[in-house]
Amino acid sequence: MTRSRSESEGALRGIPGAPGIGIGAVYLMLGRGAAVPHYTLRRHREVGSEIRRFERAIDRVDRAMIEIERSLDGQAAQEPRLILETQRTLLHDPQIIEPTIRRIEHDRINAEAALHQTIEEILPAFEAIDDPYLRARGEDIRQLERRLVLELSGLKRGGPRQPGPGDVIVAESIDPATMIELAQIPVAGIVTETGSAVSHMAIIARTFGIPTVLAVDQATDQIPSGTTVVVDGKTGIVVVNPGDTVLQQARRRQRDLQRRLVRAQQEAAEPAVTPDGFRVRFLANIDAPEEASLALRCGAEGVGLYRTEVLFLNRDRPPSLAELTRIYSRVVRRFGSRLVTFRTMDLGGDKLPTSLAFSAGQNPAMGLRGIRYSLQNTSLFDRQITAICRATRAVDNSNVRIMIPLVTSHEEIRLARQRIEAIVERERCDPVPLGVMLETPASMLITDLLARDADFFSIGTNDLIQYVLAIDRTNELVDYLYAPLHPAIMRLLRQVTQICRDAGREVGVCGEMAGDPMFVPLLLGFGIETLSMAPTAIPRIHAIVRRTPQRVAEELVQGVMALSDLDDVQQLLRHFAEEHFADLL
Amino acid sequence: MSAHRTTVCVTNPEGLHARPANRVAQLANRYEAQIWLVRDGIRINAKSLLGILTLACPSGTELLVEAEGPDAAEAVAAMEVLFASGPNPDKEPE
Repeated sequence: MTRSRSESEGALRGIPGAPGIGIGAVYLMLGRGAAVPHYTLRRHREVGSEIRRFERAIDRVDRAMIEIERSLDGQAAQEPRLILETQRTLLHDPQIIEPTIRRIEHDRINAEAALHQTIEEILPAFEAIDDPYLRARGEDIRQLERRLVLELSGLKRGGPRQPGPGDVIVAESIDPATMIELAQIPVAGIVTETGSAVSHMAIIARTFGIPTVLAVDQATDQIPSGTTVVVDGKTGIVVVNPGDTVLQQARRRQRDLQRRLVRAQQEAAEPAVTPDGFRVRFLANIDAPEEASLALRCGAEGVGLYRTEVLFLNRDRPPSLAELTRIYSRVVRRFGSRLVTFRTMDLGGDKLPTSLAFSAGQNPAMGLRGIRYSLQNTSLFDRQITAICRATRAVDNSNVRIMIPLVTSHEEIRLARQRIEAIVERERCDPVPLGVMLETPASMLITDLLARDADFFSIGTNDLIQYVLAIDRTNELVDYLYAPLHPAIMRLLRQVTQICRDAGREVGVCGEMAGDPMFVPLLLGFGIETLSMAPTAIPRIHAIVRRTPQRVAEELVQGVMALSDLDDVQQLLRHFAEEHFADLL
Repeated sequence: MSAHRTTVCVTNPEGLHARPANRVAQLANRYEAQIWLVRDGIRINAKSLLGILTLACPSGTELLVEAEGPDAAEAVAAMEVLFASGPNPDKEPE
């Protein structure tokens, strides 16, 4: 890269590895550039010492890994510890060591070259595996080779100095042990040329919260050492030589995230009870198993909404039963005896995997999606339910329930229940509570009928608002009409919470409304005891609950129900918020 | 010294992925006996995590365990116990 080019702002795109914003100077790590040394041993007696050199390198890498394993603390780092443990077994693998020693003996070549040839021979076997997770383990073998070659050659890292806290690491690929070391520094961000969402690199980065972008094509060639970069681990974008605007924006977002995290950790321990003793259960909305540790740190008592469709998107084939079971097991295991609510796939509309694509129609929000899609594509639905059952069975004391999206009639929930019960029986699984996501006007109007076959309810406010007010949220001409506080919504919420109380059914809220400070007093006033939201939203809402007496919130609801205009409702709520928790807005 | 063998089944919902496979390799490495896993005629060294991974066993796979050596009987019995649990990746082999 020439000097003039390196000074202009440019963006590179990769795949999101771990969320967060990292800003720093690039530290290029030695990787692919380092050719594996190759030479022949001249005398026969050199063979013995070469084998010993190989064995000593294995010992040194092993000791380094043990050292790193010891530095990991408790429960939070369980995943990285297990990854390291697996790497250590591979390090001593007879299928790597024995052929390498044979090559040193027979071909009279140096250890690095012998190891390299052995690994090259092993890798095709991994590339041939169908299971994407097992196939990705080929990456682990390659990383092990690198680590050993570096150790043998006496080379350590790329640069003249060790990486430090302000650095953004740019590398072709990073082995788990190094990844953990970098995360513990902690470096500001990580960018790699290889990897996928199932890479150990991504799992470790997420555990430690290091903003990471993977699979950036030719990153080590395109990003010069020492340049400033902004790594956005959520979008997968790396900005090289950011201008002032980008930099300021990134710093602001970084500060926000940091503040939220600190608050989360401080307050996670306190009970979520209003001053007058009304207990609220805080649950998390998640998309992937890796969000578990963040959710728990933020004070979530379980999962109120696990959006399972994410696994089906952006891929050629829908996931296999084995893959679903594996991922669901990880989620259930991470939460142990805490509640995990699986929302069955809300596929359809604009959310479809490439392979299942069909015409979404003129108005996808009202088309074939949610439970409608599941009941027409029963093999996919059954596969998902089977995987949930198996994951439940695999973990002792698991606490799992299933929730159905976009229900509009009693038949839908009855049919879903029949299918689920048949699978539960076949899989010899304990009964799984079944819930309905209340997000259509029809379901809100027949909640008492649905309660015959539904064990619990959760209000999905996002879709509900758009259906009740007849507003397409993606249409900018009517976007301004999207009003969560519309009297129609208020009436429905009050009515439904009353019906659920009469029927003895739990009702929660899992839409954006639950995570919005302005709306929380209303939800408390309606008597809603379960709130599910993005993990990072929990601490703030938690603090609001602890300061808002439920009786006062009930009075607020009375006041709001008497108003006819949106502006007045908003003003009343703002006034209430400023009076009770102005510092949290 | 004679060969010992038994049939086991992978019941772990994940199949023999890295972590459960690692448990198998770790256990095998505690025995002096040579231990093999056989799937559809493919025979691998149970002490090799690499070998186990490349067998790519999904849940429900039946495997033949064979062992030969001074503690072969104990090794086969221990494998049966381990597979009876799944193998469960979270449990250290006893």
